[in-house]
Amino acid sequence: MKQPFLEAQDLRIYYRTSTVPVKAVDGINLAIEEKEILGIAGESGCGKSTLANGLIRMIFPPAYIAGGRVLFHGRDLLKMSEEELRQIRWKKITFSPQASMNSLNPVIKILSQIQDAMEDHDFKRPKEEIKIIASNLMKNVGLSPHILDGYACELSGGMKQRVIISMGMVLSPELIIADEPTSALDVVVQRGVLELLAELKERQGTSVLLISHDLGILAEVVDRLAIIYAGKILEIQDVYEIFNEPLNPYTQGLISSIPTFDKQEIPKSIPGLPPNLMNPPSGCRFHPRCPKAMSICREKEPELKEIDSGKIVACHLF
Amino acid sequence: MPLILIGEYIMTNLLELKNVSKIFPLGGIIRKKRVIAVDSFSLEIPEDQQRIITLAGESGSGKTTITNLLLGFIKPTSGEIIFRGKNLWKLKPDEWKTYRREVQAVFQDPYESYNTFYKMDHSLITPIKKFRLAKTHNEAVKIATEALWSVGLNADEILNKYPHELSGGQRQRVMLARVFALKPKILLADEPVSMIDISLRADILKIIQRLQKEFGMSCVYITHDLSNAFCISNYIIILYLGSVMEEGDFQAIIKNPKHPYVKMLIDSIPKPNPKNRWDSKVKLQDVEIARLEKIQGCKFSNRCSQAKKVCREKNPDLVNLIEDSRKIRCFEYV
Amino acid sequence: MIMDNRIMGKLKGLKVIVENKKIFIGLCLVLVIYFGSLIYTRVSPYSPRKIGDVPVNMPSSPEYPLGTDPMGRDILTQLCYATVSSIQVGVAAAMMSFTISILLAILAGYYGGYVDSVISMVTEVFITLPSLAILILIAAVFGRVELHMMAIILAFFGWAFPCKILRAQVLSLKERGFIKLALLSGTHNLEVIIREIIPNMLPFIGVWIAFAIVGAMGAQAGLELIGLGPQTSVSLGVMLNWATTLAAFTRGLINWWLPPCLVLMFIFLGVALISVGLDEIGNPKLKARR
Repeated sequence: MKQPFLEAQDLRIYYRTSTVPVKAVDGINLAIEEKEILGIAGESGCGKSTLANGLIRMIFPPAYIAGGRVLFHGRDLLKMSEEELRQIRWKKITFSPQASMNSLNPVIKILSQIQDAMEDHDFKRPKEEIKIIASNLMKNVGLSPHILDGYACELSGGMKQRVIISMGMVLSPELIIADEPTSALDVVVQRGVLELLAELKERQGTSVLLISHDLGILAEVVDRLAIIYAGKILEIQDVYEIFNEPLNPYTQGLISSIPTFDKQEIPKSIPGLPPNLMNPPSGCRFHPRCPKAMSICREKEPELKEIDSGKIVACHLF
Repeated sequence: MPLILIGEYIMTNLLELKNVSKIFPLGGIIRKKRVIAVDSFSLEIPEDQQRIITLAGESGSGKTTITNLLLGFIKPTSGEIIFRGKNLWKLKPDEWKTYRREVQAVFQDPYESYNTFYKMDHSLITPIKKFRLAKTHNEAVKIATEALWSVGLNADEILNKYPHELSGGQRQRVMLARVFALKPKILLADEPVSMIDISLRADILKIIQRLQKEFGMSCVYITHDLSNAFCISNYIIILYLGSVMEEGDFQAIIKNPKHPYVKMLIDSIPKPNPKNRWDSKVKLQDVEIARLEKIQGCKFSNRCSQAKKVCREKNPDLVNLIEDSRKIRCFEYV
Repeated sequence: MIMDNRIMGKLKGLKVIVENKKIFIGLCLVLVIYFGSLIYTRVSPYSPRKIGDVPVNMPSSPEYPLGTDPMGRDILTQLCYATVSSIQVGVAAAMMSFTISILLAILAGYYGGYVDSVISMVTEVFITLPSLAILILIAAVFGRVELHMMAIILAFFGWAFPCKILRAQVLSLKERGFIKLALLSGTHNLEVIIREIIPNMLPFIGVWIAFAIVGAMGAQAGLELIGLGPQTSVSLGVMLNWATTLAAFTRGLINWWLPPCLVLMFIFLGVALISVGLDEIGNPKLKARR
């Protein structure tokens, strides 16, 4: 077993409303190991983006941290000062939020943006050195260095996303958190970006936390896969194992609902809709939609526990 | 005895694109750039052969432009668009109205499809009245109610609400209810599920399938996501930089893609099976630049691992392969 | 036509507009100033321009609430006539100019092509015209400018800039998905413009009408102040011109030069509040949409 260097323990992130808070992340336990790609799969509204933001404390009102710890090499990120946290963000952990390719400034040259990002994080170097570093960054992600003199509007979606990823790699971080990095991209470009993330893991030993609703892309690159539903983790397994033998009925339903090229028919999706997180169901949050629900599922919430080596699941069936 | 063909059965095409090209001029005072969005594209949608055709392509492939051409929003630079035997852009006003009634669309973004100034009934009642499907307002409401029921929605919960009060999935279903009410002959579905939650996509696909089976409607499903289209379509046309690279039976092409681009495309589709992962690295191309440059020869030649000398000099034609009824544009198969 | 829906929509729209505090205060301000002045012009026994109508330089008293000016006229009466004139010219100029702006903006933005190229070119030319220089030229040729000519001239110079902004708005609305669906529903272009595009522009339209009025009144006051205004009627800028000519500042005739400034200021404030309020209405809809 590799050593986990980032651990979320009973993490709770809620959103304030005029009535009851929305429990977006409600007691999540998650550990990321060195040199691994951990995938987090879930439908929209399940809390995966909130979790990603929470891991590096990018939580703004109306969201707030309601409890738990995030241990980075043993130190709780949630209790650090802003200054200490700044030393970690971008240097040790980089974050690529959803649709981040739109965060490139359209009227500033790419090279200037890279320079600005470096300066913001106390990485001051002479101009020539920055240019060399930036050129290498571009080559690492398969882009021609001459785009550094151009503007974001001249680049396609895939190119912008690769620029964003490369900007995060400047200081060789230990972890990249990528939230839906390929959602607006074409199939072939998507593959290129995912292969890049896998390559970063192989070549530089960077771990990646890959968040997506698309089980297909997760199956292609991750080492372990966590399934999140209504703010709770329902299962974490090695990726080969989870597709071979999904334990939690939600995982089973999710995998069966993926359209494949084996059958030319519309796959069966899980009936019903994800619950309202202001008033989640009692006991196991999936029980109203679960084909294998028992009476205990309605009363008691199942604990996330390791039933076998590497097999972690929260379900009363186990 | 020699075979004699007794007469010839002429099948009229409902809508046809004949060698249509669309070129967009881009600014530039000294050196005017042009983008060839669609390059000599042909498509036939016959009157009585109702099926769901997938028009697939990544960004820059020209599929959006083809959609706009089929819907009469833009004029072709060359070639003809023919509706029931007549040139679309030379139709008389009442013929144009027929065209509008018989060719409908569903778009990708369920938020953008509605004018937030009006309630939901506006988007249903307007076409019902314009196409004279009802004589009075109450009749129109009745048709709208039935159409909503057909897609599993309750009219009381929909008609009086504003668009922002409904979810994305509901809005997209109302768009399909509109199609139910109008019963067009052709439906152009432009990425109908890409902005819908995963758990709701199956419902939308089922509705499109029902429309085809119950009303004999032809559907052109425009997408870059082949796995969803595969569920309901059995014919696929794959575009690249404005030209068709391969077209034919969907299942046959998925199992055995022949064109190098199509092979790369299908191989790159993520499959939820870790045992079958990508084994080689893909070579990316910056499409924006490619569309502007004049590529000599085959449009895929600069990325193709099997490119020969002739590929870089001449552009292959789209030819019928004899062994299976597919068409391919590649010197490897000519 | 969906009569029920539209009437309900309009009534609800009016309700929303009046409920907004800023619009309500702004409207009150403007309407009170205008109608208050109008009523006073009907009841006042004095003349606004007749020299020697009343004793000169009287301080404020119950008989002459703002006192009298050096030429022997009751200042309050003068102020009210001036306010009414200024507002009428400002509104007339704004209406003329805005009508041109919106019509050309829609033609250019919606239909595009050659029509757009021509209109855009003409708009750019008008934007770059040095209006002040030309106005001084006109005044030099024609002497002074009467009120109705003033309105026409202001409209002539005022339509171009709003036209450019509104055209951009039309261009962006034209690309929206619901426009395509309206066309697919058999709606004709003209109907698309009236029923789909303009409703989405109403907050913009309201704001730009407000700007047009303020701009026209400001330009008018400015021209009159430098002596290019009418001779046969009084308006706020003309009052200020008279005050300047007769050295009201140095003579401390604060009752004469301050009120016109204040009236202009409050009208501008009222119009500004209305436009901010309309903007607020326009935007929450967009936010609520998501």
